[in-house]
Amino acid sequence: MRPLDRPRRVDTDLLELGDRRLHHPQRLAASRGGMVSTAHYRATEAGVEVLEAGGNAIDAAAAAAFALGVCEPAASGLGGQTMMLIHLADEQRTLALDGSSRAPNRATLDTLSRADLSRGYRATTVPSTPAVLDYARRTWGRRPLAQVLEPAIRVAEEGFTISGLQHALTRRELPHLKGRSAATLFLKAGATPLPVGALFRQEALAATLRRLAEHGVEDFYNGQIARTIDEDMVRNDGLLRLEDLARIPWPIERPPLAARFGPYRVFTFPPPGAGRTLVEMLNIVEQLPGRLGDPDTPAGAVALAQTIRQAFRDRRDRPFDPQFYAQIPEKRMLSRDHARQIARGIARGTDLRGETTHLSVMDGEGNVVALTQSIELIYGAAVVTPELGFLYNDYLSAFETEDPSHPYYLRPNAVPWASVAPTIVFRRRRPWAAMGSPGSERIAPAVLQVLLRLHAGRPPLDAVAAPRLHCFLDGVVALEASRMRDDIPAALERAGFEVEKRDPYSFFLGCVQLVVREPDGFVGVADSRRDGSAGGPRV
Amino acid sequence: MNPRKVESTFRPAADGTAAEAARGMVASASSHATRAGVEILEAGGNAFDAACAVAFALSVCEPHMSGLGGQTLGLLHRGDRCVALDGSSRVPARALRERIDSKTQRDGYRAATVPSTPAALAWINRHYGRLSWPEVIAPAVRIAREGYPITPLESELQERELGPFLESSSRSGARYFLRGGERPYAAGEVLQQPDLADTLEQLAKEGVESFYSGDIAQRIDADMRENDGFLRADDLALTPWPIERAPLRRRYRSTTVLTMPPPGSGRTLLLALMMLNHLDSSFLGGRSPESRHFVAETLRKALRQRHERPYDPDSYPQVENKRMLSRTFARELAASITEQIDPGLPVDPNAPVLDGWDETTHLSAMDSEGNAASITQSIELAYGAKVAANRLGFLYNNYLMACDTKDPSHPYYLRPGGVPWSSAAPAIVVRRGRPWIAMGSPGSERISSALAQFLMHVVDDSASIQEAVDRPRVHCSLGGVVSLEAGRFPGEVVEHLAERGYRIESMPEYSSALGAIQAVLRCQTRRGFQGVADRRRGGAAAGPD
Repeated sequence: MRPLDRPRRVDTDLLELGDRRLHHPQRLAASRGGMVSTAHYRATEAGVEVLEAGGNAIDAAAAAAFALGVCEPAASGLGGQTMMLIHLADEQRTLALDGSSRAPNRATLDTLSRADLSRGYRATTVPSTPAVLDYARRTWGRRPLAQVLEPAIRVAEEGFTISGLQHALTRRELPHLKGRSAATLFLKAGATPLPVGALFRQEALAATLRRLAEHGVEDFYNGQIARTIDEDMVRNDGLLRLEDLARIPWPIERPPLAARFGPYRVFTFPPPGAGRTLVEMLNIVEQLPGRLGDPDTPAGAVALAQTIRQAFRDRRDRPFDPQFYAQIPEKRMLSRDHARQIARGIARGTDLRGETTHLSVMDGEGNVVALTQSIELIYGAAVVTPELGFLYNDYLSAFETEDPSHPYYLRPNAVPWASVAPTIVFRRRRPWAAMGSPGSERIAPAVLQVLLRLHAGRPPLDAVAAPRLHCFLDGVVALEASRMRDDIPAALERAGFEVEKRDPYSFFLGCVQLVVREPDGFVGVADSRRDGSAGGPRV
Repeated sequence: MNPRKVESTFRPAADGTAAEAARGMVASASSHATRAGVEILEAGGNAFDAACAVAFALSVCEPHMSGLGGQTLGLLHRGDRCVALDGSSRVPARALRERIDSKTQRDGYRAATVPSTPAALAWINRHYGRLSWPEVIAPAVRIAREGYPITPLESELQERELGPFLESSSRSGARYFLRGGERPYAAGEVLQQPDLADTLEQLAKEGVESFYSGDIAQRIDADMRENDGFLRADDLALTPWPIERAPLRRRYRSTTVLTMPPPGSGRTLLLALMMLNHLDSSFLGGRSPESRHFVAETLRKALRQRHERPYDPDSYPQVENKRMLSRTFARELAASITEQIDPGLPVDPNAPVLDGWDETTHLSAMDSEGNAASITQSIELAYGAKVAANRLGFLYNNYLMACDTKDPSHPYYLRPGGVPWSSAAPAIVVRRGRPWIAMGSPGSERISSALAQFLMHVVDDSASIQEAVDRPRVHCSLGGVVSLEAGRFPGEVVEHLAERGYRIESMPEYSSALGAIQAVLRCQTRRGFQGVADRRRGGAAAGPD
């Protein structure tokens, strides 16, 4: 046999042990020209593609966000809502873009059952994601809508590979999907989860995205897409109508919340988002005595749990209408005095008493985008208009239903309460880090814990990977116990908390996409708790 | 402009429609309400306390124009900060467009939005006033118990609205505002309102919370259920605290005018003024027939811009291209005015007209600390929805009339939770960094016409505010119909306008169809305050000495 014909001997010692078919997203990236970090590697690629084509951070964020609706459809999409925190380098201005979606004209509690609020055609608010992304693009971006949509269209047409996480989530959500129209699109033969590694193409969604590219997002709200939505809603006894869509949910620009933390200036999301919770937690932590400041120690973990719990109590007790928030004379949750009282209580040992996706982008000009978007629950309302291809959100489940005086009580054209906290951190007057997370109430605490680790000097990847906990209002603490000191659960129990041990890299505890600006370039990190990656333009 | 001339040629009027005082001034469309304001200033209250007292009093003694069942917008100037207080009312949750027809949009229980006047006044009292809530309500209670004399205008309006009053099956409005529930009162007859007095007392005692989540709220809810209206307790439970917005601000000659952003109509006033700003002061001040044509054309063009550019109040601040506030745009529009009526805008008597000139009311108040309040409030049309809250004594508004019913993409389309489009343009004129004049007017689309001409007379002709209010005014509608007090203009003016191509509508002298300005001035060339209440509606100005 000639040498070329002999089969190569494979040295099995050198082989990796994992499944070779699985894709391992690039969790850590560095680039001089900019950085994108999202919860799915195909969306990150979309963002990088747009940066490389001359788009700025806003274009890239929009492209990635549209792409996430394709490759992470259970978490966000055209049928949901989008919130953005944006820093504009040329204007030296940071603003919060409130893309809240509104309850339809017909959404009154006396015509809705409990079940109606979370699944089915009656659960949805007026989707705002198309309007919000296009508003940002046309106001501050540089690329035309068609170019920004192109990567998303491609992923929908060519398909993406179902990951282990996606398969597991679908299996978990099967009872909600079966028997509903989402099953026709997202399950194999309408019955079983797509297998790991399967290529998932979405023709209908591609067609919808192509239509937006050609006719503008207005088509979604007053064109053919709008009419299709209306017809399907009428057919299925849903609440959304042409009349609702006709009032296009362009986002409202709001001043961000701003706070100091150590040497940093932290900007985050005002009501209806949960930035106040993050600010209050930062204020408390900063005023804790040193011995309680390290969350990786038992005492620190207990203090962290108490901090989280108190901030959420305050948030629950002080809901504000977003339009009204600016004129509140006394903003207690932002007050350092208030935080000092709480910190003292924690130090004395006194007893004090949700799925979304996030992406972060920075470009070479200094623009920054932290974007969090969602269709609320995993798979949203579990219904689709089959020929349109996207899931409807179930944001009606995010309203208050008991107390009519609550600002977020369910009424027509009201906006839901949001737990998002996209955050941009400045250091020495320049944008230094952008971060955020999905995960419902776990969002702000996840951002807090990453920021604490960064502040303690941990490198970006470690700060994101570091084990996290969450404390619920009722005193239950969920934590990635196997990666923490094993005396932490006992310390929590001694302090009166109930401990719930979670997976080592728990899907439940948020998924932080972090971009940091370093002296010689950008570093991006995508949380390994989901399928995300970071990437930057080749320069 | 000669401010010294403006201030020194002012003459008080014996009938109380023009007055001077040393320590403050209030002007409103009712002498009883004005007196309430003066009482409050004398008791140590500031301009904001006085404004609350006057507003409550007007809800009693001018119930056809505003009241607890309506909404309140205004400008509040304190120190060097001015806030546009948007006390808009909201469409109830159950008021779907398809459930409403042209009749129910106007008359009856279904026409009402969630009343916001009590919340707006409570906000002002808590955050801007000094006196207690019961103190600023007390004068209104007194007027309600003692009564006040019906004016000739009220009598006329009751006659005019007899039909809608009597058509309602509950006759709740008729019971309060028609004699024997059947016929108009005669001018001069005294109207006492014990139910309203009780309600105001309850409000004073229990706080505004009673109106939105307490006993009064429950009674409104029951009344609405009984009469098949849309309003419910859960609508009221979301207390309509007013939103503080940034006022709009533009210069007119040497003054700066602050006024109401969307959903109000300050833009129309400012655009008209910016256009007039391009004409010579002497030309405008000279009051020639040619100048009246320019004024009429200006008013018409400004109105048209408003009509074509409605904006959602919450996103208006971020609109990049605020054309109506653009000086360049104003210059272009002014330059487009020719010798004739705009040929591209033919006279069209059927063009949309904002309903009502005989509705809404305005009050102005200033104190010796430099504070100024300019408040416009209403129940939309005269006597609102013509039905009143049972045993509570106040009329429900019919603000659904101020919502668009044709275009779902219109910012003010009739939808649950939507707000009405308001024509109010309360304003504060600042000179040398300090509030100089607080002014405003009712009159729907005539508001900006009245105020623009008033300010023109003051600034371009150095007329006193009393003279400036008194002078005959023109209004030009979208459709090119010019209304004016024909008998008070020189014949050549009327002829000239007719020759330009307008359709002329002659109004009686001092017709309130030309608006009704209530203005207060804090002197800057001497000490003291001056105030004027437009004779076109009556009322009074007065202040503490």
